[in-house]
Amino acid sequence: MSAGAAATDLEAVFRRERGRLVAMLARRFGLACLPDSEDAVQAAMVAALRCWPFDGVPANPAAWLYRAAQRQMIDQHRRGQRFERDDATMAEQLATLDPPAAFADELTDAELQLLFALCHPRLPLESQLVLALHSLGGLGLRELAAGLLTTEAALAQRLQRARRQLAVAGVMLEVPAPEALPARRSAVLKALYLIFNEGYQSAAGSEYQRDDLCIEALRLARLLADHPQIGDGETDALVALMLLHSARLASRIPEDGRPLLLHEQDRSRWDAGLIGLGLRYLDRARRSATLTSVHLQAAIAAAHATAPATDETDWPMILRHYETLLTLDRSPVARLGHAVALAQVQGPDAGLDALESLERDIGDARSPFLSAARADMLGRLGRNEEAMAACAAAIERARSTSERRLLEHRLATLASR
Amino acid sequence: MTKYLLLLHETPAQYASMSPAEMAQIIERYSAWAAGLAARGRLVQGEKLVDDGGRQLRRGAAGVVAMDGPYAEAKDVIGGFFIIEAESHEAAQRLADDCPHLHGDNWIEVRAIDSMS
Repeated sequence: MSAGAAATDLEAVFRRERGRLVAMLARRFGLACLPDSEDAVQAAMVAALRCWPFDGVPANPAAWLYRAAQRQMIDQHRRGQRFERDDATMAEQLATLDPPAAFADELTDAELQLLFALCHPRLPLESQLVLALHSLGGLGLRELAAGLLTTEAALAQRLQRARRQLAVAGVMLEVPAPEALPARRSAVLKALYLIFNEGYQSAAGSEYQRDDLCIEALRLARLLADHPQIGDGETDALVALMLLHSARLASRIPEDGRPLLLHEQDRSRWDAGLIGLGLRYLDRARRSATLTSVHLQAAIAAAHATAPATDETDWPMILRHYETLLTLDRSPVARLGHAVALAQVQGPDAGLDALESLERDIGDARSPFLSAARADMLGRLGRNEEAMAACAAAIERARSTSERRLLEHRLATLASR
Repeated sequence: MTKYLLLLHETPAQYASMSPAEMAQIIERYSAWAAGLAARGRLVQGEKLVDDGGRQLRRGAAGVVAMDGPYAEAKDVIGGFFIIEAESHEAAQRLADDCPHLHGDNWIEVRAIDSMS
């Protein structure tokens, strides 16, 4: 195994185990102990950081971390400032904490319960996302602060406020009862969807995409989808959508760092394994009684992922999916995708008409994608001057440096015609 | 060949805000660094020291006085040490140069072990 592969493995272990450990401790001691649980897990990882360089990485890193976190919880208790429980209760609860192997299912449940609690509708959506990413997603405050364009201190404050809100609202750590499940599940799916999107199309900072966010959102979504009581067709569809997009992550950023558009990407670099898995989830998504917008988005992603070449893309089918999608979802993103498909099937003029009506409705939107799509269609019509103006407008709205580079490259291409 | 002691000074408090990924990366770099030294036959020993429970002994007028310390909360503690072999101080320093311990406020003290030969 190369050192690079090993590093990624250990990173994955740390990220995954952080969420699982926090979930397990919070489940044992209650949501009120969430900060203590996080402290204990952080301390366990610091202990690993300071011991493993000398002792080597243990054969079962997860089990080592579990034992260390458990010791930290006991230490915090002994120091007496953290818990208002009597010793007997505490000792009893700690005695039932065992190494992970025997509790694999219970751990998954603990993570899902925490996910439901953190994505509680009583919290503002932004707090839900931050809590889920930090407590379960294993993302550090510094990483999150950079991604959300805020400071570590501000983020720490927001987390603290969100945890207080959870406590005040009396949110319980549980999988919601069957009658409440659909509504709560769709709140969780929405949060995971936004996390994945932020990773896939990073709105902030210098990075075009953030694989870590995509991987965590996907991991949590799969936990939901594969759970016998919680999983449903819409969750399958979301997992399919994430997998089909993730298959392209590696091919989007070539050596020189300028992101590549769908039609520029080397399709042989798409991850066939992820595409295959995505198609299987999409197949299982049919167990749903209703067709949701996520189903349609996944079907569109599947059409792109299975096209052998750009010019062999089944645009008429994609357009039909978009037309159905618009009956469920009139969001600007859906309408933009529809306009692009329309331009492919009926010609750039039809696409431009659709874009114009979209622009009339949403006004001066900050997204650069609309202007970029317009530039593309105008370019195909040979209206280069206007295309360049649209491209320049898109550059003004670019949200990351790599997004800017991508658009500047397109402007240069238009200018050289 | 002379033996050199690398004393690893650190500020444990700085780890509190480190992300899981950052910690995993440092551990991996450490493994690679130690394995590289071992493969070249330069690594003699490496040990981590227990943070708390240390005692500082001094002889006073009334005999030996023991004090607790240092504490893990201290700004600068010696977290552990490596003993390596090198031809010269410069060579030892080069081997320590890319030690993953060197991040943040951490620092390494490189001392030759006097062999009295």
